[in-house]
Amino acid sequence: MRQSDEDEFAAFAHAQSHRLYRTAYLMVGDHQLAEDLVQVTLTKVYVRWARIASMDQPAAFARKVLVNQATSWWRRKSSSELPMLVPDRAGTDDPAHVATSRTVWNAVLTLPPRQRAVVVLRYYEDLTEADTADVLGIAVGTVKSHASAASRTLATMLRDAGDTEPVRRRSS
Amino acid sequence: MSMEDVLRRSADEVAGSLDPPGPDLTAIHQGARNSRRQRIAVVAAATATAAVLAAVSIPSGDGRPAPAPPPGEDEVVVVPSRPVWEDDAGIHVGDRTYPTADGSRLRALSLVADGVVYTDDRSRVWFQPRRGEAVEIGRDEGNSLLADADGSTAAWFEPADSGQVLVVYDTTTQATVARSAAPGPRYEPGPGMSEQHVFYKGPIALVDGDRVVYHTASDVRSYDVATDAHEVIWMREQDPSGDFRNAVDFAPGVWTRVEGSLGEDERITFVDDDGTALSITDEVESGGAFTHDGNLFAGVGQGVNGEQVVIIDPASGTSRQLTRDSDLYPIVGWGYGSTLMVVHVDTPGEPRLPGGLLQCDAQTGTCDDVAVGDSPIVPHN
Repeated sequence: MRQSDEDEFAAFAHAQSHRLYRTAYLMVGDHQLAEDLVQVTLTKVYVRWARIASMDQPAAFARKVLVNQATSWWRRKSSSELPMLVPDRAGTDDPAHVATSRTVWNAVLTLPPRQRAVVVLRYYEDLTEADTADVLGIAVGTVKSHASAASRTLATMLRDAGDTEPVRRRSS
Repeated sequence: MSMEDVLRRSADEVAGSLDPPGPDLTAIHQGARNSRRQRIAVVAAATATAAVLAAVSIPSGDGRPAPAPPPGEDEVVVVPSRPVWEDDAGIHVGDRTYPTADGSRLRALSLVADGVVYTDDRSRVWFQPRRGEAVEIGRDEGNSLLADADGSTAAWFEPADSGQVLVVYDTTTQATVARSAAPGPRYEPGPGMSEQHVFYKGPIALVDGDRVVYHTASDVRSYDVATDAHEVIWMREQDPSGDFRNAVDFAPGVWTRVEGSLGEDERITFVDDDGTALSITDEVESGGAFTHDGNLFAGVGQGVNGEQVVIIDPASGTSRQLTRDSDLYPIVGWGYGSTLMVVHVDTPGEPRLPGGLLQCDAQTGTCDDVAVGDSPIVPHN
């Protein structure tokens, strides 16, 4: 790779790695695994940097690779092994809020892989339904059904757990 | 607060509480080097295995080929030059058999370097890596799927509101690399495969890295992923007498230019990418199949005992009749290396149960019967 491409990739990696890591962590709930997923993703991007650099949105491509890597990991993982968020790093937000949010996200991590991915992409990455469908390689209707099923499941889980305020689903 | 709001807030707060590490560029460089070494090792091993297979494939005393050597213990060595087909037991890659999703049957089967891609009878597109489970990667309602056997690119057409979208997918990164609006694809006449073995060849004629060549109603186009450009590389022509000039089969660096009446007096000219004629033949019909490197072409010609498979060297035009004793129509598809798969059907366009499946070494001209289950199909290329 030419030095200019090396420099360009290094800048890209520094600019995107934090966002990729956060997305990975929300999907898998494990720091080490999130680091590994980001590392593998950036390596795949590096190998194909000449092609990827010419894309309109290299970051979106890297995110797609990351999500697919995470999905592969879910398939390999035993369904009996459910991840759990561990608050082992210093945070800057209100601890009470973060604790509630961790309860919510622990519930998210029990969802089936596709539903989990839809939740992360829709509500953390703020992707549209169409963009979410593109990342996951599924139909927009499937995104809607996954989001709806996830919402129903989480509402029931959180209501039963009583760890958060009552939630209501939007009628539309 | 709605559930959506709860999830947004929770995601932001959990993500905000993290302290992400920076990228480890040294590890990335090392990982990239390891990845390259792996690929080089696979290619080198495949070449060595092909040489071994060719060396041991000496005809025995009764004229039949000696059996192929048993597969070695190192799968990296033997898999890339193995035969590939699908029957009711699943997808066979050498001695491995991969079950299809939900036991569905295939409508299209094609190869990539690290596995196979296929469209099942529910129009779902799957990538089956050599190791691991199949991954659903899209929808292909027209059975248009084709892939790059020496690389990691697969392509197919998906219907869209505005017409058709050409989808290009990378099996290494397991990600879509392009979705580009394209003119309506044309299904090229010629034997292909289906649940009942026969259908027309798909509209995609070649997938070669970032390049996808496909047929439309009026021309042949080459799509480039990097530029998102669809370049017309051949205009379809037909005169009132029914004669036609066409470009049908493509491989990297070589393609066929066909003149004459379909199925009657076709003359095929092999040309290079610059349009320079390499050789001419009238021994086979159009709609055959190039090896993935373009060094050999397998077509169907009229032999002594009916229609037989003929192998042609496009560079010189020299030919060799490969099959000799079948009265059924042969449909061809290449496995890895120079392994040709031949499935026999009654007549193209009239689905019947097949007469059998042959695995041939196109370099040595030897063929073996393959024990198959019901309704086998062979790779599309």
